[in-house]
Formats: sequence, C-alpha cells, structure tokens
Amino acid sequence: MSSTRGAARQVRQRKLNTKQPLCIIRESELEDAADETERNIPAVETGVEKGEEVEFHLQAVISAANAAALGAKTKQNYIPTPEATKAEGVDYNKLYPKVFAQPATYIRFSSTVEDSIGNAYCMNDDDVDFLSKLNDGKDVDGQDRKDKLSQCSEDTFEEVMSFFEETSARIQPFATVDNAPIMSLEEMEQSIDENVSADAQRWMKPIYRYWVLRKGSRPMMPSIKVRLLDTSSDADDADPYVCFRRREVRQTRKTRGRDAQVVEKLKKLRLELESGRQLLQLIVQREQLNKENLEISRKVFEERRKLKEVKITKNIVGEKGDDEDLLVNQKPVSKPKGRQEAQRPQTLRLRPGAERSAPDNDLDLLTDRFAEAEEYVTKTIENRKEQHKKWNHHWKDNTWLPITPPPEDGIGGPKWKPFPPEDLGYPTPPASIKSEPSPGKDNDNDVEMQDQDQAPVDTVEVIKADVPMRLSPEPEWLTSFIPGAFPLDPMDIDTYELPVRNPAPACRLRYGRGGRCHLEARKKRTRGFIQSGVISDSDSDEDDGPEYYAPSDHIIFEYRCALNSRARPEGAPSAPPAPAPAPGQAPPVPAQQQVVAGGAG
Amino acid sequence: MAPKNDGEVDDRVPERSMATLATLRIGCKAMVEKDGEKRKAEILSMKTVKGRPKFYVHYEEFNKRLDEWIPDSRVDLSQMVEWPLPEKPDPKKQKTSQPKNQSANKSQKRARSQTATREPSETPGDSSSKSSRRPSAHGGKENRDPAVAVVAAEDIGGTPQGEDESTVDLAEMQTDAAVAKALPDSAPQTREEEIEKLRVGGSMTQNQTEISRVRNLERIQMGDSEMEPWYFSPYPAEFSDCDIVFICEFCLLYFGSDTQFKRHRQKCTLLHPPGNEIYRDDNVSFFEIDGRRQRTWCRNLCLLSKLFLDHKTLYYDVDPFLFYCMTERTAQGHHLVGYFSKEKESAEGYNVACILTLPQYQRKGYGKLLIQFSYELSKIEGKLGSPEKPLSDLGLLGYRAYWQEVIVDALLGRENDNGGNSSSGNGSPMLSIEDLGQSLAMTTTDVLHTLQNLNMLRYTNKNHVIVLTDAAVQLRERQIEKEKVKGRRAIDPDRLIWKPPVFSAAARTWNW
Repeated sequence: MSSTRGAARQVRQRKLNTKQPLCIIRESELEDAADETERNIPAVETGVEKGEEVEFHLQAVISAANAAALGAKTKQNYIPTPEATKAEGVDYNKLYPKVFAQPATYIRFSSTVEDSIGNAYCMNDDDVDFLSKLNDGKDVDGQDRKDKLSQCSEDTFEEVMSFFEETSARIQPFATVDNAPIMSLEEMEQSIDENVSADAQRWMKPIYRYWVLRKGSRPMMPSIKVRLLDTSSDADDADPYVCFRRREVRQTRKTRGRDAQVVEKLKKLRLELESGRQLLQLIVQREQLNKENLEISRKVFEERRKLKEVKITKNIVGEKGDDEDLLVNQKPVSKPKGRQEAQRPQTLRLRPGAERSAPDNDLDLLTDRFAEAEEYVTKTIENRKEQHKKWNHHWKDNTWLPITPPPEDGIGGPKWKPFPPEDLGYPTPPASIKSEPSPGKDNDNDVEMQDQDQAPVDTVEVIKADVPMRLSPEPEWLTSFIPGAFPLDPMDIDTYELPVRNPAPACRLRYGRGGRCHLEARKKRTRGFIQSGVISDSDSDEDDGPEYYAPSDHIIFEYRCALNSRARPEGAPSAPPAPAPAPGQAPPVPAQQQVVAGGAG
Repeated sequence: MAPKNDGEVDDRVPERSMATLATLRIGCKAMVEKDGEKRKAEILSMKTVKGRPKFYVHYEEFNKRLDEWIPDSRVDLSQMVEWPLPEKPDPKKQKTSQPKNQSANKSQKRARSQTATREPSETPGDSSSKSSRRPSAHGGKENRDPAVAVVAAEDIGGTPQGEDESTVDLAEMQTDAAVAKALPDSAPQTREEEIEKLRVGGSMTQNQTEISRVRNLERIQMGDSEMEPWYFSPYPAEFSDCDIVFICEFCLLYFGSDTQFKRHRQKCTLLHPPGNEIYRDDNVSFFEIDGRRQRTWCRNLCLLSKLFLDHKTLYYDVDPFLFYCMTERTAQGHHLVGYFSKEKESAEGYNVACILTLPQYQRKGYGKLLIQFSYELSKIEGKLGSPEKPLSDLGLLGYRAYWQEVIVDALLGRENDNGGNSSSGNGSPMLSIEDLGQSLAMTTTDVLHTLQNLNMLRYTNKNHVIVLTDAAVQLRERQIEKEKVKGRRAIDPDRLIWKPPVFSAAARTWNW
C-alpha cells in the first residue's frame, strides 16, 4: 500500500473513502496475495512522543506485534516496569479496618476530603513526646504545669494544632514571603469560634508555647505549593513544585444590564435557598417530633411491660389476651362510617383527575367503587327530587309529607306553625312504605335504616344538631308536624320524650292519592323509637291517641329511589357494581345506626 | 544539574575521552552495567552517600521509569565517556529546521535539565489530524479537530464521494506523518504557547522541562503495597528526604511520617472515591468525580498518578476535568485500581486525558477495562473519542490491544451476520470505516491506524478491502480461549447508570 516509494512501479492508489462500505474478506480470498508490497506494515502514526518512540522496549514490542500481524510466530513481549511489592511490616487490617458495608444501590457521595479526615493536623513523633510530657504535668520547658488541666487527648491536641495552623495561614497567608512575626496567643484567641471545642480552648495556652517553638516558615503539615497570588509573573514558572495554578479568569464585559441581571439572579438564589432552608427546618422539626413520639411510645411500652411484670409477680390473671393488649398498642377504632362518607365527595372530586393522569391504572379500590355507587344513588335521588319539583310546579302538594314541599313553607316560615285546620286533612303517607312498622325487633326498621344510610347528610346533621335522633331539625319537615301531638315550644324538643312504648294498638284514616281512603291499623310496637314524626289520626279525638311513626320525607323518598335504582340498567358506566354493593353493604350499617341512635335516645 | 542543550539537533560530535570517578560530571554519557549488560547511560544527578559517589542515570533508549541511582561500581570507566557539548550562545533563537535523518534522530536526546530549551517536537495529535485533511484546511482553526471534521462530513450526508473530508489518501497520510516527524511546525513553539495550550485544555505536555526531572520520591506505600515511583511528581519538597512516603488508600493524602499516617488512618472516614458510583459489577465499580467539587481529592490523585505518568502536567488546576475511578471492593472499602480523567469539554474531541492503572494492579487486564469504559461513555454521549496525545509507551500498547480486539470482533460479528457464507465476492459483508468507528465510538483515524497496523487494509482490484487476516483471527481465538479459562472481564454497558453531565457556562470557565 505504501505507494510513494514504489510510485514508478505502481499506479497511485485511489483514495480511500471512509464512508464507502468496504468488503470484509478473509486472507484466502485475496487474489493478489503474493504482492510483495503487502508484506510490510506501513509506518503508522503512534501518538507517542518522538523522543520516546525510539525506545528499546517499545520498539521491541511493536516490531514483535508487526511480525505477528504478518503471520510470524513471536513470543509475547512486554515493557519492563518497576514492580510493586507487598509492603512489609504493615498491619493492613489494623490500618484499614474492615468496616465497609456495600449498599444495595450505587453509592452517591459528595463530602469532600476535608469533611472526611477530621482535624487536618496529624501528630508526629515529636508531638507524641510532647503530649506525654504534657500529660505528666510538665510544660514545654520541663517546668511543672500551673494549670489544673488533667489529661489532653490526642484529638484535642490535634484540634488545637490544626486551629493554630489554619488561623495563622488564614491571617498571615504570606508569612513565608514577608517574614511576619508569629501570631500571639491573644491574636489567636480572637479567631476562636463555635467550631473550637471547649476542651481545645482550655488546652490552647500550654500547646501554644510548643507550637511557637516548632513553627517554621512552612506549614507544619507538608503541603503542595499552590500559587497563592494570581500574578502573571513567571517567577514560579520554573519551580517544579508549584502546581495546580488557577487558569486565568475569563473577563466578562461589565454593563449595567449585566449587573442588574446578576442582582436578580442573586435575589432569586437567595429566595430559593431560603425556602430550601425552611423546608429543611420543617423536616428537622418533623423528625424531632417523630423522635419524641418514638421515645414516648417506648416509655409507654416500658411502663406496660413493667405493669405486666407486676401482674405476673402478683399473679393477677386478666382476661384472655389482656396481656397482649397491654404490650401492643391497639389499632385505633375505625372511624364511624358516616364521617367517612361525608368526606367521600372530596376524594371523588379528585378521582377524575387522577384517572386522566394515569389512564392505564386499572387498580380500582373497592371502597372507591362503593363510594361511586353511593354517589350515583345520591345523585339519582337528587335528580328525582328535582324532577318531582318540576312535576309539582304550580301545584300544591297537600299530601302528608309532600315530597316537594310548598316553597313558602321552607323559606323563612316559622318553625312551628299554628295548627292549620285545612292542613289537618288526612295525611297520606307514601304508598310505597308500610305505614305500620312491624313490631317486635330492632331490625324492623332495616329498610328505613338502609335508606337513612344512603342519605348521609341527614345523619350528620342530626348528630351535629344534637337533637335526638328521631327528630330531624329540618324546618320543612317540622312544618309538617301534626302540632296537636307535639309541644309547640321548640325549646321543649330536646327534652321531649316520645311515648315510644305505648302498647296501645291504634289505627288511623288516611287519604291517599285520588281520594282513596285508607284505614290503617297500628300494631303494638314494643321496642324501638320514633323514626320520624308522629301522626295523630284525625279520626281520633283523643289527645293521647295512638302515635304513628312515619319516616322523614327524605327517608321515604330516598327509599323509593333506592328501590327504583335497582331497576337501573346493569353496568352503568360510572358505577357498574352499584346495585350489588348497596344491599350488600346494608346489613352492618343499620346496626351501627342503631348504636348511634340508641345512644342519643 | 548543569544547563545542557543536547536536545538541539546537533551536527557536532560530542567529545569522547577516558574519565575517572572524580572527573565525571552531570551530562556525561558513560557505559553502565544494567541487568548484566553494558548500556550507555547519561548522568543526570550525583550525590555522595557515606563517602561514596552515587549517580542518577538515564539509560539511552530506555524509558525514564528505569532511571535509577547507581553506585560508582557499576560505571564502566574502562570505556570512553561522551562529554556534554558546550552550551550554545542562545539556544532559544535556534530553529530546528534541519530535517532529521535516521542518525540525527538517534543522536537526538531529550533535554535533561530544567533550563534546557529544546523546541518541543511535533504534537502527534496535531499531525494526525492535519494529515487526514486537505491541505487547504490546515490553517483553519475550526478544522483542527478530527472528530469535528467527521461530524461535519456526516451532516452533509449524501455528498458525492470524492474530494470531501471523508476521503483519505493513505499514501499521503503516511507522507504527512513522516513530514510531521521532521518538521515540528505546528507544535507550540515556545513555552508560553505550550502553557497557553494547557490553559485552555489538555493534561499532557510535550514540554521537556516538565518531564525531565530526577525522581523526587524514593518509595511510596499505598494500601498493602509498596512501589518505586517512576517519575517526578510535585509532592511537597520535604518528602524528597523521606525514605518512604505513605499514601492513604482512600483519601490519597500523603504523609512523610509513619506516626502521622497512622494518626490519619484513625481519623479518615473515606471508604471510596468521594463521588457517585456510576457502574458496578461483580469485580469493579466506577466513580465519577468532578475536579471542581472534589479539588483536594483530585489533586491528590493527580499527584499520585504523576508518579507514573511522564507527560502528565500539573501546571494547571484540576477543575476542567472529570475523573472516572475504577475500584475493587473488599471489606475495607473501595480500593482505587486505576482511573482516567476526561475534559468536561474537549476541543479536540478527546475522551480520555490521562489514564493509569496503579502499578500494584498492572498486567491484570484492568487497563483494558478502563479503556473500554471510556468508550462506553463516548457511546452514551454519541461522540467519537480518542485519547489525548502524546501516549506513553504503555498507553500505546494498551490502546492498540483494545482497538485490535474490538475491531476484529466487530468484523467477525459482521461476517457472522452475513450468514458466514463469504465464499463468493458478492456475498462478502460490507462495512465502511466510518460505520465501524461509529459502532465502536472510535475516531476514523484510530480505526484506520489500527487496520493499517494490522495490515488489514489492502488494495486489490483497484478497490480497498478490509482483510481479516489469519494472524488477527488466530490471535483473537487464542484470547477467547484464555478468557474461557480465566473468565472474561469486560464492562457490561447495562450496568452503567450514567448521563453525560452538563455544565453551565459558569462551571466551565476556568476560574475558581
């Protein structure tokens, strides 16, 4: 290939295009393999400095490699180097203790050498001698020490020496050049800050005298020569020991605009740092609280443990599992359902967004599904209410507990209306509900309870209002009371005891829609409570006539809705499992409701 | 060390005569016994130990790492001694314009003293880049970088093949190389120019005053190993009096006294290079360390590596470099095995500035791992890389071995992809030099040089072809056999968790 020398014999080669694909072939496929000019390796630029390229060992290796490339058999050559040997008399494991634990993840680390080596000063043999003398109670000059200090540790000694060295280097950076006098102890003491330990401050005086004796013009710990002044003088250019010079600062043009920019940047930086600092502070606070919490938990545990011991020694046997309860913190009692439900709308509001951000997230929580179903039901109820209102527009609903109460009743009306004779017509309870609650068990009200469960707002309000459970404080409901059966004074509501346990059977006449009359008998109600209002039969003149327990209008209506909603098509997009959870969830809820109500009643 | 100027190409014949121990002086070249044979050696320094003279000698044509102190008994005074040439009136004004023929080259000796001012020789990196370009591009500053040229050529895409940047006249290339050897015209002419070049990047120096000094440390102890330094390193001058200098394996701090070192070890808490681990496999880990953030550690590392790297310069600070440190894990911590430094932004497209395997880990295949790692980084960056020049002898061999291995592997792989059926000329696989370089993150120049050096680039039937020579294939097969026995050590790119660090303009400027 080297064609220049054999130019006369050989035609000049075509230039090699590095972008053009070349055939890759084996040697055996070469057609003119016998060409003599192929039998030498062209001189290739090595990249080694010329003076060194001629070196004996390198040339030996290169020529061996060249020979090998041409197919000759050569033994491996190498360049001799001074060998490293095992250090003798070194207790390696003592010098380098086996303390490294490999973390599972890749190490991330940013501390510097200075952060990691403690005091920069390290004691030499002289220092060891001096320190032992010092700890024997002798001063630098062999005199007895007058101070009452006891023992100086190696670390303290090194701290003091580091402090002296660093302070003098900082305050007299050019001491090596201008022969500045050694700093006095007083000058040194001015530089003491909070980083100097109390121990070190106590020992400063005795060690200072030793330091002065040892102090030369160079720092005591041998250090490399770094150019201190960024001068352009060539004075130290030839000094082989001066190294790591700064590269000269690149000048940027100074303009007013640039200055303003810089100020802005600094301000921004300041703000960002401040917020970062605050964040860190909050984290510290949190962690401290966590720590306190842990400590307290531990204390509690210890106390409980002690109690247990006492119990064991005194042979006090508690109930089964009692001791375990003592030692382990009980899980907090799960919050009442009602409150959770009150919070649901919030989570529901968040959901669509979450779904949008993670469309492939198909891990729905069961509780979320329940919530969805419930919301669907509530919404339907509200919708139907609205619809009802529309139907009844311009119509006055004179039925008992009208679903859509006349507007004027709700707004601003007195809470307790005087007995209006015309309204006292026979009220018509909704046809869909048995107006005579079955007697006997608590569970009688199952259905109603379930409905109530589906109207969480009511429940919450009841609890909030601190009114007995059975009395919904809603004005629109109150207006529909049959006043004859009630004390009119609102103040009395709280104290009003309903004659719940009246065993007398009763009946009433009721006008239904379309003018139908119903005479309804009320069976004995042994236990339980008034779910909503009391109805006095108009037929009866007796004041203490039988009480009718009618559910609140909401409850009735919502129950209807619930019934209707069962007929709703399966697999509605927003809440496919809705029909299922509603009944499924029902049983535990009334029980709970009972508890709450019982408490209130 | 008296001033001397034998660095100058000089026609003058040195004076030769017999000498005695008393008349020997610095600069003399005498025959000295080395490993049982006599070699010509130059006296670089003298001292008297216990009344006997000792000479620090450099053996001609041996690397400086073999320079040593010898007793007078090894100097052969029965043969004539070459006396140093008298100093020229003003060596600075001399131009090395004479072409160096073979003999001149041979007599040319590196300057050996601090005040010698031989014009540094051609920067090999420059000459190679220049040679791969048309003559008109020589002066253009933006064209100085071969990597840039390659990228530029790529951007053009479908340029007609011919006189564009990607064509290389191989013969011309060789001629250029020869001329470059003779005429160091593009190299920095003066010390000032060289320093300016160092200031704006690079860590290798051609400057003779930088690289020709008597070793200053006797021995160093690092970890559980002891070794002799190879070259001068600007450790504190106090240490030249110490028998042994102790270097902490983790923070790389240096101590002249055993007591101090032991005290330091009680306090030092570092257990690995102070940076982020970016690679970990069963054998080794790599840490990335920013010279600007870890100034002390990186300075310590540079001081240490200067003991073993002749051309490394510590003239300027470590800020513009990143250091990639390879470590081996034990219960003690991560032991530094080797490292390479890399400019944060290399104008010349270098992906390695300095590269070193510590002597106690040499000849174990770690160098290849370091080199491979440097190319894996370049692959992630999407750049072509090449080591900064000049290479040392060991560096050259290390790189050549790596290049040969990956190129032969790539070619064999391409052959296999082609179905292994290459009996007919039409069916043989095709691959351009540039694609080969791209796939290996190697510069076109390096690929070409490797192929040429292995005699794998031939010209047949008026076409260039790549020949997988039997020798190269056999060598690779032998290596694979060996790997099967010993276990293959290679970098697994999947375990490299790394993004090319981005530096703001402020972080890149060379101030503090």
